[in-house]
Amino acid sequence: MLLLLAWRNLRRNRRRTLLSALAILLGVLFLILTLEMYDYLLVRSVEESLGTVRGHARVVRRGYLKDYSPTLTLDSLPVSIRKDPEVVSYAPRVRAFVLLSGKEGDGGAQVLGIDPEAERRVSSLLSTVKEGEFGTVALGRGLANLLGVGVGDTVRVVKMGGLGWEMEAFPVKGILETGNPGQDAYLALGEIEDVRRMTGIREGYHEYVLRLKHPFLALKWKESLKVPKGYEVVVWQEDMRGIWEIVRLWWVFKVIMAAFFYPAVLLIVFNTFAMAYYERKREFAALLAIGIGRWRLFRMLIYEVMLLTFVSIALSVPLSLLVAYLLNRHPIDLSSVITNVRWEGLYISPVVSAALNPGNYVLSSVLMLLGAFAFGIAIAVGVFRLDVSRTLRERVI
Amino acid sequence: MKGPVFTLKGVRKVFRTGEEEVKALDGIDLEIRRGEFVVVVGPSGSGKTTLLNVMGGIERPDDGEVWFMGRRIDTLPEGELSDLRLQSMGFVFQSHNLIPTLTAEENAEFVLFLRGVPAKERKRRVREVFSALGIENLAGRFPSEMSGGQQQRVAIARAVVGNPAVVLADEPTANLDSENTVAVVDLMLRINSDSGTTFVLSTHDPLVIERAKRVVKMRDGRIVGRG
Amino acid sequence: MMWLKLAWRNVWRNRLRTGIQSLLIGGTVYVGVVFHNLALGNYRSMIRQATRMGSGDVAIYDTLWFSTRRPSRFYSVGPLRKLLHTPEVRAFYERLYLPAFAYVGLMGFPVNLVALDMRKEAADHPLLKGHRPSGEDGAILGRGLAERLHVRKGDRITLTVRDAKGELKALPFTVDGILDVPIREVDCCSIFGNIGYVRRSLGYGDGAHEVAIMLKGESPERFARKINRRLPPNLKAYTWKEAMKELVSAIAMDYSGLVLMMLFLYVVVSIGTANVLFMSVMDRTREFGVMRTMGMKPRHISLMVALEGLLLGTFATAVGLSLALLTNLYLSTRGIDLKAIYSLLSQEGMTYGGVVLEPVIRSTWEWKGTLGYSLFVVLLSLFASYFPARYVSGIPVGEALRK
Repeated sequence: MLLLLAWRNLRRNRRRTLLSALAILLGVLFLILTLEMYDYLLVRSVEESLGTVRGHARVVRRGYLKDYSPTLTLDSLPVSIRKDPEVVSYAPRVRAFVLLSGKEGDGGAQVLGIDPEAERRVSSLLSTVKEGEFGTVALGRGLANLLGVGVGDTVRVVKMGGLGWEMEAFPVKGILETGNPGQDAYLALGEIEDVRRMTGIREGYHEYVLRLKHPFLALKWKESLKVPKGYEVVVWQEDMRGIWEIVRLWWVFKVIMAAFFYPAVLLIVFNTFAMAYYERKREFAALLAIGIGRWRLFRMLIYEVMLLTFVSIALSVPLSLLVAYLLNRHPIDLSSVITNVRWEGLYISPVVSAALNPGNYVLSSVLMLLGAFAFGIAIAVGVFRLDVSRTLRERVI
Repeated sequence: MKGPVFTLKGVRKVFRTGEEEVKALDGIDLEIRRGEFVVVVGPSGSGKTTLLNVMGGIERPDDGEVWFMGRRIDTLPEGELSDLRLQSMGFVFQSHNLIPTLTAEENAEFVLFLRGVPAKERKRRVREVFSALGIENLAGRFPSEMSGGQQQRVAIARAVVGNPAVVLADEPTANLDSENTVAVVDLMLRINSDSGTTFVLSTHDPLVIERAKRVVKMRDGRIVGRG
Repeated sequence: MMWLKLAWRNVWRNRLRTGIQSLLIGGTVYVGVVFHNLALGNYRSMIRQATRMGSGDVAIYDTLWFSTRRPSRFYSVGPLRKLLHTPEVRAFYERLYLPAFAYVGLMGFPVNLVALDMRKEAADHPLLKGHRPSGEDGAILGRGLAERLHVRKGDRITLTVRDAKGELKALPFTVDGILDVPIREVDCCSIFGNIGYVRRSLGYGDGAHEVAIMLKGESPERFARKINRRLPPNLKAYTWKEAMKELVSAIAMDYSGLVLMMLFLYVVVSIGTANVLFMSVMDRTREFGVMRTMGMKPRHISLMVALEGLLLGTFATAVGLSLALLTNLYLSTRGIDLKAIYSLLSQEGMTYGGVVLEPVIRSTWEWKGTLGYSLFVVLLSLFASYFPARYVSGIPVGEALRK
């Protein structure tokens, strides 16, 4: 009954109710879309970054990551890690730091020796080859530009050998673009055997890259993992501490965003309800006089605020979802206008899209409901202070 | 011979609420001459207010003709009606006549302001009218600071400050006690005799009726008697 | 004046309602102006840092080097030096960027050798500030690289690098300093050496890949245009915006986020203003009827309501702007210290767009945006009043009087 009364009261001044509902609807919509867009940028950038060179986790010989000493190799992935249910797939890699010499110049490079079959299951490194094909060597776009070579040309690998400078020629099989120009200026790929030769080792690998089921829980996984002696496991969160902290504290960012939008919306709701309250003060006094009870009146006012908020949110969420879905399906790529931007080791591509994260919808709705509830109480509490006889004598404003 | 200010020929006005039809005016023929002090009387719902509204161009009749100072006004566009009201008519209502955010003096001045009268001249004329009506002491007060009687006096001052040809007053004393009623009507009568402004009042107050120079009786949207 | 008086008093008829809406409008202006100036202050500090470390306000490059970074595309700076001795130029720095390979024993890593005048650049370059090279072969390198190479201050390292003729040469350096910089490219892979030593040792003569020009206050665009007319066809002067596209994008990305959020806020606030004006005109329907009987035309009433919207917007904006300017005065002198937040996120310091973010952000005074934001809000209030104004002008007089 009280709910019905609340609904009818909302319909009394339709324009006012509609404008307040519109404010809530748009406020929630804007917040959801903003969070969806930022989520997309962050999650996509993290995934892209993890999906190529870095991987979710790496297993190396203890000490290898300090100086990349080529002799610190491992033969196979320890069984305890290989059989861990969290590990989806793994791939071996060999790393060589070399000086490459091309037609037009030289450039230092990090050459990753990979096993294409295994690598495909772990990363999208092979799909970054945009010209030609994978083979020894495939060069990053920037590196190829620096050396002045293209597919079909030859580069020479210069390395220090026992007898001084040694050079070995390789054809350029492909050109790769990882989406991170800084990385493309020094990265090259090759067959494991060839890269072993570049670095002077005969067998073994320098690291195993792992793909995990739950990359965002990698730190926890590592804690529970029994790492065999002599081995070291590094998860991406340790490699990219800044980004991980940002991911970890992302919810704070979301609440700050809500604090940016919602006060404005809630002030509009407050204004509307405060006016509705003052207009109906006499009516409330009359209802109190016939014995309706202050608590019941208080509840009715809260119902009004919450009903309006709830209905507006109920309209806003599907609308937001629709816009987010469309953005997700048809991302707006602004890379022709602005370049990628580095942020704490991440490369952010200027793409406007939405992450479709249900958490954003829940958070936005709950925060709005809580805010409206608090503001509703601030107004409705007036009925407990209402002086019935004085109000009935007063002229209506 | 004084010419007619208002001539109404076969005026009809029907209001519809849902399925119900109310004949507010049902074939009114009426002529009011310059300088007259006419009181329209009748019970609630007899059509008094509608008659005054039609005369003031506030409502358009469904049928018939309304002539004001030799000009047919029921077919005039809204803008011209506004001009006509501004230049030639004054209005007084039962209550809430004044703009609450302007003082008494400013309320009266506002009419002259709309007519484009320069500020100095406005002030002079308002002061003149206020002093003639004996309400100088109210000049700086806001409506909320005045009694009902005082508000009505200021409303009359505002209605006549622009020297209109006619003042239409819709139950101007309905919310006043007898003492204030007499004072307000006497004030209107004084203006009528001093300046020759035509007054058309609607009322059902005997105190007003007994002071009228001409009475028009209405019932169910028709004129049922003239005095 | 009469209209203004009437509109102003009407605006304040319901003080609570107007007060809340003023808070909303003023708050929006406050947030917009403070954030705008704070963001721009931050960008200016980023640009200052980036121009000093990188391209200067204007940089001269061989056009092919600019697109490929090939070391062979260096140029002789002799003829340029005279050209740059003009009143607009505060300083200019010559630099060589050479891909090299750093060896310690048999361990080697690819590095970028940045050859520059360390003494001269110590005045401007954020990484070299206060650094005094011990000798001409002194080098500074990032902590990450030093750890990989197992070198400490005073150790020797050898770089394998091609000379001007294209021959591989071994160039020894003494480690003079180790940098703690959160920029990955510097930390893992850069070595700063003296340009004089590198030129002499590798036969580069007076060659450079980059001449970074610091201007006194002249517009980089104008200066670049001017100097480009006097450069040979293979050389071109690039403004920092052309040379550091990533920084421009970083700023654009960040600022467009702010603008988008402000736009969202403006839409919501405009709805609020329209709501308040609607409430206000609905309360006054009968009054408008009375006004119409006094001879006011519908457009007069519309204008009055629009004026009320404009006054409400102007008043609230004036208050919001005043408070924002006071806040900005504080933020431009004292700034906001984000050290605690940054250290929570990253121990080495936060980087964005290839630049280390200053932990203390100081706002700037950017009047065009400040006044633009404010004016926009005032105009929005006027726009929001359009609907209620149109609504009231359409109410028939008789109907209004019956309310």
